[in-house]
Amino acid sequence: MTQPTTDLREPYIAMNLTRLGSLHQTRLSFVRSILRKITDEQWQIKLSKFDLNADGYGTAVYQTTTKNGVYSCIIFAQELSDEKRSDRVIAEAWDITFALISGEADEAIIQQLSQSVPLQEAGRNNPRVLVLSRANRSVRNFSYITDCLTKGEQPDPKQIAKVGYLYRTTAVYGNGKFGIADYHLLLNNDDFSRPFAAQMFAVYLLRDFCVRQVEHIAKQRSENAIKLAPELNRYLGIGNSTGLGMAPFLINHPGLLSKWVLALETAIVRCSKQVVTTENQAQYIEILKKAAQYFKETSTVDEIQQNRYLQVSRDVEDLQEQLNQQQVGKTWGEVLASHSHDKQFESSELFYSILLELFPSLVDDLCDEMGDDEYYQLNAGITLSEMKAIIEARYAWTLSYDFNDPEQNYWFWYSSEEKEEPRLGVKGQEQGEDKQMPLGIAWRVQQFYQAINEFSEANPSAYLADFLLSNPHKRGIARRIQSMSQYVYPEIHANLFAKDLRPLDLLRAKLSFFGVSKFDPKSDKWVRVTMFQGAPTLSELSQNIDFADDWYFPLAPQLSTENTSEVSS
Amino acid sequence: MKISYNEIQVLCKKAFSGVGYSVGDYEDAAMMIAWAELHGLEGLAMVEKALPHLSKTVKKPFDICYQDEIFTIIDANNHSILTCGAVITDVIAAKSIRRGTAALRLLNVYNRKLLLGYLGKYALQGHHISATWQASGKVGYIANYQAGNILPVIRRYDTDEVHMNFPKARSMNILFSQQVSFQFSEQETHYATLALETPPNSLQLLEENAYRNGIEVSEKLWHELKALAANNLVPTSEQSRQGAG
Repeated sequence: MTQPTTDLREPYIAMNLTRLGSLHQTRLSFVRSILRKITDEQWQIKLSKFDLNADGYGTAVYQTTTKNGVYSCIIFAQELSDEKRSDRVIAEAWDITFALISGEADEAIIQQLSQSVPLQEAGRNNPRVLVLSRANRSVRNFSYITDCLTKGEQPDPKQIAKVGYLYRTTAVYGNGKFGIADYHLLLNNDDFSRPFAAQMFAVYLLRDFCVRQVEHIAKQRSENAIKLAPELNRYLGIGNSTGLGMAPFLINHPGLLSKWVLALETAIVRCSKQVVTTENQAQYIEILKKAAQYFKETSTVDEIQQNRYLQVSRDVEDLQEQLNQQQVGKTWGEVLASHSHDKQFESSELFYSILLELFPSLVDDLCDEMGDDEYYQLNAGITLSEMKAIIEARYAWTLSYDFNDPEQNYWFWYSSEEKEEPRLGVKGQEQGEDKQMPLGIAWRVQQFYQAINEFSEANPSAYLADFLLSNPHKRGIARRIQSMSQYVYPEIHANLFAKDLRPLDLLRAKLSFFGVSKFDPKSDKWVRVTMFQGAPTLSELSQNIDFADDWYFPLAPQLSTENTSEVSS
Repeated sequence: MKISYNEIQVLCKKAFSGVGYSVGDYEDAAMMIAWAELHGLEGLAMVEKALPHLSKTVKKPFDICYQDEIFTIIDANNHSILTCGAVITDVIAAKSIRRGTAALRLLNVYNRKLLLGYLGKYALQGHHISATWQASGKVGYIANYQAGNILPVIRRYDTDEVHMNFPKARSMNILFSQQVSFQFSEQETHYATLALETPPNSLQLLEENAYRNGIEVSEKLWHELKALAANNLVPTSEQSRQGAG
């Protein structure tokens, strides 16, 4: 395992919530790493069943063979009325439901899954299921693209650019949920041992199905129907709609979060030490130009995010100007630090994410170090003085909040009766405060610190064990502090009770590690994003077309005329 | 119905939180139950029996009857070991680290077998551990852990009389050592008949089988745990839905 380098950014910098909420996809992101794995190891993926009616409803199966095993992705497409189509967690039916299972899919298992998978949370599933998910149509894009293909026309890229996908997932479940396989079963399976690898792979297969489905419907409607142009096919990703359900994950899996951020920060340190050459400077400028265009094409109705995008475009131009001057001989760290120090996080983190693209050999090995066994242990044999010293060294940031200030003690987090979805309530105003989730790490550490200080005054030489015998309910936070002090970046340095909290930052922090693009906030508590937009298509991979891992910052394609008349076969 | 290991853990965490266990305690209770079930030790069956009592007793503290640098005697006041086992084990392990050895006698406690998963965590850290208890009737158990191995060797004995090595009913003896590994003694067989020995590799096989095929749980218990978990949930309001996505 790679040892943390001493040049890493301090946790108070790297774990600042606004910064985390400004991260972009990188080479380390899970959608990027799974695609590299598929191509490097030449996974064989075939569509083994495609049984849809004229309206595109029915069943499809993708079978994948790797050096370690066989997997099947079973997709059920069903008719859904507009009234029932909802991205909300309370939805009970979806346009598409699908499952990735281990092994081949015979008719018996397909039949069995057809009874459970469409039910999603309400169903009980076979332990062979590795991933369970569902997706809803972008009605506008689906109808528009189907109509165009039926008429023998390619859709307008500008229209596609507005949404960027045919379907959006609203949850992608793994790790034992609703009877499916435990993550433990994947730990020793090299194919999916990296975090969320199986989930990302299933979503990638869904992306292929979506295009095949619209092409199939168009073909059923007209003999003159054409296939979607490859450039447009690539430009269609899979959407995702994410609400607060994602937020507690980062607080409840601090060891895992630390591994993710450590991998990113280690990559930044490694790349920052590299010297600027004429070649890599030119490469950086090329990527920067692409990024500038991408941000010009990306828009959102969220004012804060839209302003960030506009500022990114200006900051990118500034950096471009600087890079047009002689920088050769300096380190990349020097160049970017001098340009980033006064920039918004959205821009400075973009510059570092681009830097990682220049040095794949310094980055890609870190993908294998982003998992964590989450094995937390308490040592009650230390003195309370030692325990206090740990807090003062690693959790000093928690001690500065004044929880008597109503602005700092405004929100509480709770689970709603609606499918246990996490929600935020205002303390003293909304019901449920007595049932709040223990996500306020800063508050809990501060309470613990005060309690051990008081206990120490009466028992100066006390051990933690003595304290816990009198205060057994403090074990949880004591164990977290001790265990997390062994990690570099376990805690988000923010007060999750504060009135000015932007929950969206928590969602984006996680989604950036997934590798999504086009952040489109719909409120400060939920966001729509796109996955795999610009990525090589399955048919490109299966034709062994040389795959360059350069599909980030997807741009609206310019269609060549030859792609407008290919008749669907 | 079949459920996964993770589902047991997650649901038990929520259920024990719903009962009133604090953070840390409900995590460990869930871990102990799931671990026992994963290794064929009837974790869920024990929980099913214990549930009616848990909600009544969770707030009552245990009593320390005696303690010095090495020995500790604790009265669990007829609670399930889920209520107090983890914190007491933390304390005994701390003594063992300081003094090289520690001994605990735990009195008036139920569901003792559930502690085995938690003891395993300390064995993995480098403690040699031995746990001895007598189940209802004339059955005695010894579980010995070698330092570094999370799984113990478990022996079950049939006995006609209570041997001194098997503590009284509803009690449990636990020994921790930094230097000396605990071996099974022939002494037990003078008073009791070895009925079953379960080595670590058998426990490992049970674990793998449970991961692969899922774990059977009665719908009744499943719904009881869900009902307890629902104590954590807050009714929905239009205010809470605003902007929630």
